[in-house]
Amino acid sequence: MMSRSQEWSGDDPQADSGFAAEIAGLRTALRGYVLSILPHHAACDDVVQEVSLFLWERRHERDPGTNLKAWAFKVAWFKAMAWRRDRQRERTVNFSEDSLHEIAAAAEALSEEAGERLAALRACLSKLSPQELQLLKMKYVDGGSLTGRARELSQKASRVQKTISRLRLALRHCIETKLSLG
Amino acid sequence: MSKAPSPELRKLIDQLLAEGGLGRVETSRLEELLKDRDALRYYTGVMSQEAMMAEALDGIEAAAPRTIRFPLKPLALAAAACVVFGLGFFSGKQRFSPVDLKAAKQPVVQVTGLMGVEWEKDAAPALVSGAVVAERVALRSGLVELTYASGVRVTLEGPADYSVASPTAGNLANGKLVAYVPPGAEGFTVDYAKGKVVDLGTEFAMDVSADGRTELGVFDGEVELHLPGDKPRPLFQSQAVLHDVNAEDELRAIPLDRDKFVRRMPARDFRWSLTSMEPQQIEFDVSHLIWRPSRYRAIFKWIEGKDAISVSDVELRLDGKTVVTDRHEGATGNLAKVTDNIYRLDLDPSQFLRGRWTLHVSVKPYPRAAAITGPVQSQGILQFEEGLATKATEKDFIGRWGYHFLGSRYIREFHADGRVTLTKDGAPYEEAFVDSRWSMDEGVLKVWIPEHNAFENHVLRDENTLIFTSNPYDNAAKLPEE
Repeated sequence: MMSRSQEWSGDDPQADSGFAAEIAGLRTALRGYVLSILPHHAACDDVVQEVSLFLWERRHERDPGTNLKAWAFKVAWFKAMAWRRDRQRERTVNFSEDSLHEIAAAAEALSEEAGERLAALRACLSKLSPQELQLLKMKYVDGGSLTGRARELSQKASRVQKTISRLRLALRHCIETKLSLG
Repeated sequence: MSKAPSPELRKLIDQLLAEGGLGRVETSRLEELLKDRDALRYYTGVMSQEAMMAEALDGIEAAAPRTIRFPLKPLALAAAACVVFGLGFFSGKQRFSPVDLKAAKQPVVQVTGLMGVEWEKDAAPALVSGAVVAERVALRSGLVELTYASGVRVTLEGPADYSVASPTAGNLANGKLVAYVPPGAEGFTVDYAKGKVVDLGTEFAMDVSADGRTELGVFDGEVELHLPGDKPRPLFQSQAVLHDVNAEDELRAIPLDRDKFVRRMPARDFRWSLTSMEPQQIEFDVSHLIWRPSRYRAIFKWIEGKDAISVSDVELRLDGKTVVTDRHEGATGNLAKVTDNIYRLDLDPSQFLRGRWTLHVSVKPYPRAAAITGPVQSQGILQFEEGLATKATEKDFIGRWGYHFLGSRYIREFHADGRVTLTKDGAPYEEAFVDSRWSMDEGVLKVWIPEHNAFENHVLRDENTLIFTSNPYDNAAKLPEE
């Protein structure tokens, strides 16, 4: 990204870095939105990356009056739909477009609280046991196949999946409790 | 705060986020559920949470060093250099503990179940005389259950040809197989002519046809399909593929056919209950117990309740058509009431076909003594046996037989001089079998019990299994001589 921007004359490095920070600030909300309509981690990563790049490349076209977030979500919607079209033949979840509009609207509304949710999730994670954190890091940070990890732990893949499911529910409950109290 | 998600919604979302994703049916079900506002809010909440996990975890340190709470894999049984099949006739009660230290003395693979097996000519392991060395089981019909020392359980349905390759692997030349791989035994591998299936902790099924087509399905968990020159392909719960090297698409996704495979050795006993004075017909599906022409026996056992039952007109039907019958009237109840409760159903080769076999029985309560009042309520089991040892001799019965009843361990001993003695939880049970004597009558051991003025009858399923035909007890197992 940077090397490309340096080729362009007339860039304002300061404005650019401000814009980059704005995009970065949207990432959390954007990821939640995209994952809701494209429930596949790898696809979500790709689309969010594409959206960031798209916004960056068109930063000069931005109307200062437009809401960057609304713009980003709109771009994300079309990128996600394009991804979905291109991968139609692969085995991915395929909600109808009507449902996706409903889901997108709900996800967009929820994204207003992305910041609070992230803070709540952090607080909730800090209460987990080291083993539980280790497992979650394997899944969400180190990436790769959970099955392979299960093998490393001499543990049955379905049991790892159950643990993940249990933690997911517990964290969800913890977040909701924090938000409703806060 | 929104209400708690339904288990179904939660499960679908978990599955959606797992490596396998959702199938078409589950997707439309989830779509339907999401029409509910609370469900939709739950869904987007989980998705936003999922999406921020990596970011949230960044910087949160697990204080403790890497600790693994999970059980260690059982020790490799390196000492067992060859594959040994133990004596085969275990009932379903056999337990094999992979962590038991005594396991080191066990053979690598044991035959833990046999049903209706017709062996291929050159491939019958000599199962009748203790442990023998064998590497291959090939059967024309029936079911064989093998249990590896690691706890892996392989159920084969004939015609099938399976070889044990190592303590953690096998080779299926053809036939149907279901493998159950318990935690700790992941990595169990089954080779077939065109590929290899590596289990990652699960239950899966294979059907290798003679024409080279192989079906692979996953009941639970995950397996990897390894094909030559291809990266391993993971296959998840409820997924199935057809591998056909001669087809245009060598690998095709197909629906998992759950009914096609036998996942466990079927039980031989069926529960019945009687709650009315009216005569009634009871039907039992015995398809999984009839694999070949043979001498089948239906034994009616009473377990509990104040009414004895009268049994008659026992018919064995194939796809609804009566094939063989035993119409005699018998009765089962507490000891004094049991008469002629074994029904003979001999299927000769001309009468045998694979199909849906059902047993039809007419039952009614036994005429009541005046002292018995209140509603009819009795229950028991039908034991469906094949090829009972009708030629059993005194020698086969003499010795110690162990069984459990209501949590206690009983051992009966039939002595050569005709006496019977009993111990309960290790202590002599002197009140039982006072002045009792046993005798043989056409393969049936009859114990005269003066106190009840009645006979107890016992038959042998095989040399190690005694069936109490007139008592509500589970089968007894032959114990070694002291």
